Amino acid sequence: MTWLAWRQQRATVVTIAALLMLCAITVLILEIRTSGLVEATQGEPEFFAGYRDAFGAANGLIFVLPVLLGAFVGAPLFAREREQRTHVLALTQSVSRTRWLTTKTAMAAGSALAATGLYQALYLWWAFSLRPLEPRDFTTDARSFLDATGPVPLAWTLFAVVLGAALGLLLGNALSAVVLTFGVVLGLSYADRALLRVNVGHDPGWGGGRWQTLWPSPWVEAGTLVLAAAAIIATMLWWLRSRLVTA
Amino acid sequence: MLEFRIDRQSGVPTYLQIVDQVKQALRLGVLSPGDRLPTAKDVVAATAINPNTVLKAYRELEREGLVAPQPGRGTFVRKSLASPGAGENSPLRTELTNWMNRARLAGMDRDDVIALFTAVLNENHPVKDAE
Amino acid sequence: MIALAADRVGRRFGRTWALRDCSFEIPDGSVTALVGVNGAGKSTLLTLATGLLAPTEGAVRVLGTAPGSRGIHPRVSFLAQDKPTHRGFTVAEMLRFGRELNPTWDDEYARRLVDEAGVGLDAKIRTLSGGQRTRVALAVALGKRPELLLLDEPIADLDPVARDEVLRMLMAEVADTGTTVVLSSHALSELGNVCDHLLLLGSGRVRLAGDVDELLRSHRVLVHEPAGAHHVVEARGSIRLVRTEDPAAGTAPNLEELVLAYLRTEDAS
Repeated sequence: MTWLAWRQQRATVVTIAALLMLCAITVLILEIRTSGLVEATQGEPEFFAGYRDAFGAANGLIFVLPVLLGAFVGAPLFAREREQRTHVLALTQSVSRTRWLTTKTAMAAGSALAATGLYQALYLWWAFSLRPLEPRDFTTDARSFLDATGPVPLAWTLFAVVLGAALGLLLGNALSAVVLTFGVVLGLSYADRALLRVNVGHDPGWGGGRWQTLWPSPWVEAGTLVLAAAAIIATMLWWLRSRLVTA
Repeated sequence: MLEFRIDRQSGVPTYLQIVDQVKQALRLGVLSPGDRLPTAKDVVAATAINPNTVLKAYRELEREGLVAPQPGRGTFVRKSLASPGAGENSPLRTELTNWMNRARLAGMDRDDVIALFTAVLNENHPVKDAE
Repeated sequence: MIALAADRVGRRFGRTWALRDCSFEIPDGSVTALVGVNGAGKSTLLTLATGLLAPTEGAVRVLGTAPGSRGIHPRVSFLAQDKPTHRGFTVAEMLRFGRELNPTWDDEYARRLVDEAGVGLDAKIRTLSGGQRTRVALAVALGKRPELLLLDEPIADLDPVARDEVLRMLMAEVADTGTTVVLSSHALSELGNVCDHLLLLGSGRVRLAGDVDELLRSHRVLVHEPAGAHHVVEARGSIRLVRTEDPAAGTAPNLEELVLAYLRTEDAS
């Protein structure tokens, strides 16, 4: 079953790897320039204003990544099988429905998590080379900077891929699953960032150079998302056992 | 190897078509005692019919004493139906060929030949009531 | 031995019953034609036998056991309608698919079947003709050496040559291994020589079931003859198909006539 899951997702994984490579090259070039500048200017803030946008974009991508991965890795996972009815083929071999669903989901979630994780590492590596500067000199948004370094993007990736997989399984149509996943995950993460935290929490600010505690704590947020993903997987298993119409 | 031609439209049950074609082969000397009949798999791989039909036909031939199964080896012909005059170079056949040639020279076409042949055939070999 | 049995099986989708009160037994080693108009419940019945669907009422038994939620019986192969295959896979990868997903897999046999179909192992599935694709799909289904093979419309989309090839391949398999085959089809004229049992569904119920020869023996076609005490299945003008044990009445129907008569009439039984 692992072979099948890999064979089916090979093309997606290769595409993600290629795109990640492109990001790595871009960040590498930027890092070489800024670290050179740090040495040459002893970290004078005015020289770094030109890189604020690039750094902001690199940061923003961390939050868009789960949406993209959910829509393009998660949503087609089962939707395409149902479109071509190959799920009937797989489920009438000697492999249980649970194993089929979990192996495929695990492989998709695993590669998506690896993508987010690697990109986070790339971003952190760049930020690390700017450490002689005060963070407020190269980024404007303290909360985004902090969130990007923690477990939250990973948890969102897991949630988005699992949600996309579930929508694809239920709808049985790749296009609508992609669009719906994109919309729902984008909407939820926007609501989370823009509404929930503004209303309930407070902006940590740069508070004397020390990171203040965020609300909700990144671990609480990540934990909630992981639980939600687990609940979705349980629902999929139930649906696959009792409701899936194959004819 | 003996091949069977199955006519779906004929209305004759498939197993009987096989029985008839085996008998025809026995009459013409295509099959003779000791020969092996094609296996059910050979037959169905050549003509898409149910192997059980082939086995049914062979059982019928066995019942008539024409063939006998040998476990693990196949079904073998026990008895020939060939009459001495039916062979390729038999005198009777040569005579009939000569007769056909004379009939053509006399201006008879195919239908005339068939009509005459059938008439003489029916005089000498009346059709039996129950086949 | 009974390969597939149904005892008052019903299956409902929403408010409509796709199958109702179906009881039948399909003996071991038989080749059964599952016939019925579209929507008669053929696919539902086959899917129930795989265990992918559970009956709403009644019980299905496959090779002596009830298909459970754990999936298809290891000795049953199913070829779904339209014969789904992974179109981007090569033929070798489709065979690997079968090998990876089935503990009882006869790779040599599956390769031989593909080879006999004249298909190269490196060919992509999407480049194959309908007949070749069907034969690869059948090789995957047969590679696990099933005792019961369920085929949903296996030859519907094939040209006459490919139909003949696929049926010959199937019959050779039956001759070789004695596999029980249940196949649904509309191709009545092709089925005549292939099937020895018939299961005819109408509006989700079993209308006719049994050995083909016996069914043909118990029906006669009467032309310009009064039906008398015989049960009339269908009357079209002066032609009547009747159910009778009297071999002297009328003439024997062929399978196609018999099936059509039952398919055209809703209430005969």
